[in-house]
Amino acid sequence: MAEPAAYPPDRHLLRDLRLEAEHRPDGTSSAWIPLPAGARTATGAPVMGAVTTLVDALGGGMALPAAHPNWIATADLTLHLLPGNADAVDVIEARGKVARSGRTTVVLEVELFDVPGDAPRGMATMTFSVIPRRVEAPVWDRDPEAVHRMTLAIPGSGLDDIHLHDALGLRVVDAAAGVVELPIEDYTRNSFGAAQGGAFGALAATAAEAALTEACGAPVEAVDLHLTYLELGKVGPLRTKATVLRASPAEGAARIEIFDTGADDVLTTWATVACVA
Amino acid sequence: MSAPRADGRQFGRYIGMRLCEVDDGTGSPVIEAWSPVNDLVRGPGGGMSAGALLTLADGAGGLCGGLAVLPRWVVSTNLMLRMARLDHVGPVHARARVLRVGRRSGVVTGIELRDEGNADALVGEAVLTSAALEPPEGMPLPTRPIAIDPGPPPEIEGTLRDALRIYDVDPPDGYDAAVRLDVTDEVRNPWGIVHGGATALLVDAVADAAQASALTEAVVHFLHPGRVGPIEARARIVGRHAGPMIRVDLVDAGADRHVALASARTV
Repeated sequence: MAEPAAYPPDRHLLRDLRLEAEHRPDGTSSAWIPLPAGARTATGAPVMGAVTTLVDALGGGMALPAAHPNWIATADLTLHLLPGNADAVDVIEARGKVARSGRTTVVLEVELFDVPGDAPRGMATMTFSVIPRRVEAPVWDRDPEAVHRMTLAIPGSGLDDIHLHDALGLRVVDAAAGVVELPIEDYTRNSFGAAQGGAFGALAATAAEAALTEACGAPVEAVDLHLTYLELGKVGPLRTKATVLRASPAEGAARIEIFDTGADDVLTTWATVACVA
Repeated sequence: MSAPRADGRQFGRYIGMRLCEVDDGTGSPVIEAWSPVNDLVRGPGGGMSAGALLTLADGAGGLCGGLAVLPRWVVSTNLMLRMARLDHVGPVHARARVLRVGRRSGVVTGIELRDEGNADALVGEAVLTSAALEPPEGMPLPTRPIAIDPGPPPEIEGTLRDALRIYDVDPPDGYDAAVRLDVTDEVRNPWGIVHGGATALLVDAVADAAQASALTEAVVHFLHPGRVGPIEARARIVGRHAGPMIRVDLVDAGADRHVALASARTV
């Protein structure tokens, strides 16, 4: 049984997702999250925000050693989800590998699978910018020759009794316009004190689903997400602005811009999201 | 990176891409570009193919990002396209603007694509992320405002795939389709690297070969420069929603190098 890690704090998004990760000497890594009701959509599918957080956390854990001794900043994240039998998946497994480790960027590829069953659930790619390590950056000291396995679950954490969106504090301000707010609290902060990359995925997907449910005339769920991170979200609340790109009764797509309302409305993230009915 | 070999507009001729710099009063570069919709670039959806739109977005976004970091220049690292509609009258009008200039992390440009022949209907949106590099021999400073005319189009019969002589090959184990492009100066950029647009067209071509035509979303990660060739694009169908979702590896077979990684899907 793996030991709980010291970071993040006891009440935190990563702990409630009960994320577990393993990093191996061959440069590959895997991570898992269980799928209780609070991490699923109304149809039982994995909720986009949970999977985005899984991919983001795995990616960060892989890109840091790849960029060592430098530091990294997430530049973009693409996630495609596939349909599956909701009753046949208890856990989602993400398997990552480094596609490029260069002077300026690290690119990762992540494939997603149902557990049990091993059916493909989707794929993701991420780009990290390599930046000079700041003095105050957390020390990341991992023996590259050893297998490292860690869990972020602690007793009492989980999404059995609360939905992820409620735990995050997502608030739909104007569904038809796709205006949704997310507070930035310790629950969603990363080790730099800014909002987790995965939280942006939850926010963008929720905003797109709200706007496209109206535009498509039927409830839709996010299946495809591209996030381009422009600035850190540090103050909050984060607030979305949605622009519908296409809409039909079967599916749609929207652009979601995410602003930090507490920081002079700086544009933090440029996202596009596709949803299906 | 050596000094630019040419003026960098040859590849744009394939899609008839005309580029010009405009002043929107922000002090940040804005590039507008136009490309006609004709049989050369038409895709299975009836309008401009995703590959041609990615080429247009790469051209406009790349020039916009490059001007934003002068005297440095840029190389594309990531290009995303999401389509709003597949039928276009043309010309398609691209407008690229800077979303972010990082001190070290490069430039992000957003590109809006509209159909001038259809009351400026939205065609789609693209985002291009580029790394800023310092050419060792310097970057020739362009005359501003920039205006690039593609010159006469190449004499071509058929489609872009025919023009570039992209051909099917047997896919390696684990893949569902593969296509190849022989590398000539016609498909290289000014630094001798296979043009981002040519890479995007290969993604489109192998998607078609994998029966995943009429792409509505595509993301290309440029990993390493392709210089030798042939460039082989290998597609694997990962799964299906309404249409297939594919993962594409692009390999420089002559240099045994992973050139790009892409994912794409159809509705």
